[in-house]
Amino acid sequence: MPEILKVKPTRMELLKLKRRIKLAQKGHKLLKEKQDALIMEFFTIYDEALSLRKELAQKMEEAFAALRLAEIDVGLLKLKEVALGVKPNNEITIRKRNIMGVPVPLIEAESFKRKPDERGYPFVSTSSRVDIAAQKFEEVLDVAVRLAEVEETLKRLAREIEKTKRRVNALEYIIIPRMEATVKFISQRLDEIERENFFRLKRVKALLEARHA
Amino acid sequence: MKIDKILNKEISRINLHLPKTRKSLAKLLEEDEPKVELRDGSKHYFKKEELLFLSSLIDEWEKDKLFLPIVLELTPVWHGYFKIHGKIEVKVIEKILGTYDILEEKSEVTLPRYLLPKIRRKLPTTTTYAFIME
Repeated sequence: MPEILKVKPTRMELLKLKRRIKLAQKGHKLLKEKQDALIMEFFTIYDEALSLRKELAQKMEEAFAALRLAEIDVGLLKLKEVALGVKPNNEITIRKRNIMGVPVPLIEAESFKRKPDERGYPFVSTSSRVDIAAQKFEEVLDVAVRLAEVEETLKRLAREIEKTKRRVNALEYIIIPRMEATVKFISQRLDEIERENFFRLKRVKALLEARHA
Repeated sequence: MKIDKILNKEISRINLHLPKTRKSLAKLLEEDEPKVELRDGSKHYFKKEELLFLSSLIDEWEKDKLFLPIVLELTPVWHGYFKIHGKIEVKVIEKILGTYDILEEKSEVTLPRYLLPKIRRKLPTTTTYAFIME
């Protein structure tokens, strides 16, 4: 049995409460809609995140395999020296977009893939295996940036779903039942007062009739 | 009462992510950073590749008439369905879903909600949800 609110059992309070219940039900319906839409959005992005994760794992494996081959080919010290000479890659721009009131990142970046002559290390002292390793890691970077955007979006959506769910549940299981119980209590109390008045009037009428007789 | 205030705030907050004014595709294509201002004052940026994709779906003269973001209307009355208003908007969505018929010119369409992921996957920044209380 839900608790009842601390209000005076008057007709005025009853009307106010009925209005409040309507408002709460309206809010509940809208929030429930929002919750459903958020969950749908979450799973749409979740599918994308899963496929990107798989792609990233595969690309990482390939990239590290290529790196090992490059290490064997030119040696660790030489590879470190080459890595120091590599020019910085393209920069990314992080903007924002909004999904149902949740600000999520929107990363727009050009591809990180470069031609061998744009990387900045000399060809003479390296081998084609180094080029392959660099190319593979640039591919990894492409997927990693896309995954970063998708995973951050998922996290933020999950937080919003949790918040909305808490609000929907509070309305559905606490606030609305409590108000409905209070309405019931006030109605019963008003009926009781009416019955008491009716009985009192009957008694007064009977007493007056007895006195006149 | 406190609860009234909270509820009213929640209801008024639910559509704050909608844009103050929508911009036409033609105008957005001209911008370096295509964006719209939202009702809460924040900015919503569009993906350029998405705008180009949209412009490939419609005719040249329609670019001035397609206003973005496209609003996907959700209402508790039509549970399980959503609505789209606007001739060009409907054309774009139907082309994405593969249901476009050149002989039919609809200015409004009601679609089942299970199609939403398909649309959102293709147009994540150029579509937005609106919650309508009827």
